[in-house]
Amino acid sequence: MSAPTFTPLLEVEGLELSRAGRKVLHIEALRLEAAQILLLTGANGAGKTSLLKALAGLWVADSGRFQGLGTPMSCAEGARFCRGRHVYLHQTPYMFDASVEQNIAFGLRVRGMLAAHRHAEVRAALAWAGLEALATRPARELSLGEQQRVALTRAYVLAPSVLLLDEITANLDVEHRRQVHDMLSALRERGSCVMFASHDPAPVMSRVDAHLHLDDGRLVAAAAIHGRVVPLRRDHSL
Amino acid sequence: MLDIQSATVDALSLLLRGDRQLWSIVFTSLSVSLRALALATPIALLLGFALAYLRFPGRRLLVTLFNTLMAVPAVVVGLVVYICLSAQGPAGDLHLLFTQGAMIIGQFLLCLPLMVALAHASFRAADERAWESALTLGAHPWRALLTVMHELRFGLLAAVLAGFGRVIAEVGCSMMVGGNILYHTRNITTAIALETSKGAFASGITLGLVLLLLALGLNIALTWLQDSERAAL
Repeated sequence: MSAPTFTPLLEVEGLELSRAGRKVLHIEALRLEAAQILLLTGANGAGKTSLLKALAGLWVADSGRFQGLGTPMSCAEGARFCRGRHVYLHQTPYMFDASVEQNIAFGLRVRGMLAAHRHAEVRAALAWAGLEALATRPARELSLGEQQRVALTRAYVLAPSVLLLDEITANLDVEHRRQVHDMLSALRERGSCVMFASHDPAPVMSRVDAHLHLDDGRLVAAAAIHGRVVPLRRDHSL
Repeated sequence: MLDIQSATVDALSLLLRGDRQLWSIVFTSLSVSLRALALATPIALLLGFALAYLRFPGRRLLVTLFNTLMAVPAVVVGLVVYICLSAQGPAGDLHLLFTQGAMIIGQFLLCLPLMVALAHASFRAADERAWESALTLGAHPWRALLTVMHELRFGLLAAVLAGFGRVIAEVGCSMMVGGNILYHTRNITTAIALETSKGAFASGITLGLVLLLLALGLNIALTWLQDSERAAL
C-alpha cells in the first residue's frame, strides 16, 4: 500500500465524543483525502450521525487530535476548522423559509460575496443540478427529492473540501436516488471528499472508493474498493 | 345614566381636533413603551435562545423563574421599582423617580419575563436543523442565531407584540413610579384612571379608543408583514 502523495484534508486520532453523558464515538484514526467517495455503514445507533457531525464541526469532540491540512489542532480548533469547509447534509434536508435560489445563495451570502458574483454562482449551480425551473419556487414546497437536490446544490456552490451525507437517499425513489448519486460522482470529480452514510449501500457501491463500518462508535473495518484505500491507522494499514 | 354614544362622539371630536393635552399623553405612552420594548427585545431574545439551546447549571430554575414572573402584577413591579428609586432606596441617587426613565425601567421589568418565556418557547419549538444548516454552510454562530431568528420571526414578533401589549396597557407601575404628571409622565392608562375618577368620561373613552387603535394598527401591520413576506417567496 502506498502512502499518500498529498496532504490529507483532515486526519483525526483518538477521537472521543460523548452525548448526554454516554460515550458515542471512539475513533482510533481516520483520514480524509480529496476526490473520494467513502461509504459509511453501521447499525442504528452505531454512531454514524455522531461521526459525521463531529467531522462537520457541529459537535465538538471531548478529546482527540486533529490535523487540518497538515496543521495540528485541538478539538475546539478542529471543529472551527471543519465548520464551513466541511458541509453536513441531514437525512431530511432543512430548507430555509425562502426560494430555492435564496437557499442556494445562503452560504455565499454569509461569506460576504458580492450580489452580482453570487447571482452568477447560483445560476451556474442551478444549471449544474438541473434546477433552473425551480429557482424562484419556495424551497419548502418542493418534493423531498427536489429538496435533497437543492441541499446538495447549496453545498456544491461552496465547493466544500468534505461533504458529509447522512443517509440522504433513504427516503427517495429510484429516479431521485440516481440523480443524487450522479451529483455525488460530479462532486468527487471536482475534488471533494464525500462521506456517505447509508443503510442500503448496494445502489451506490459502484461509485464508492472505500467502505468504512462503524460498530458501537468504533471504526471496525475498512475495505479498499476499486484500488483506492482508506487507512484506519497511522501506518496506513487497514 | 352615562350616554356612551354621545361620549364616544365627543371622544372622536377631541381626537380629530388635535387636542394638545391628549396628543401629549398619547406620545408619552408610545415613547415610554417603545423605549422599554427596545431595551427588552434583544435581551429577551438572547435569554430565550440561551435558555433553549445552552446547557448550564440553574437553567431550569431560570425558566421557572421567568414563567413565574410573567404573572407578577404591575403594581408589585411598580412597588419594587419605587422602593429602589426612592430617596432611601439603593438607586435613589439617580433621581429617577417620577420621570419617564423610571417608567421605562418599570415597563422593561414588566415585559421582560413575558417576552423571555415566549421567545424561549419559540426557540424550543425551532427545528435544530436550522441552526446546524446555517453553521455547516459557514455562518458564524452569531449569524446562525440571526438566521434561526429569521426562521422564527413570526413567533418572535408575537413575543414582542405581547410585550408591547403588556406595557402599553399597564397602569399600576406607571402611576407609582411616574406620578401621572401632565406633559411629563402622564400616559394613556394613568390619564384614563384620572379622567374616570373626575367623571370626564369623554376623555377616558377617547384615550381608550386610542389604545384600541394602537393595538389594531400593530396587528394590521403584523398581518401585512406576514402576507408580504409570503408573497415575496
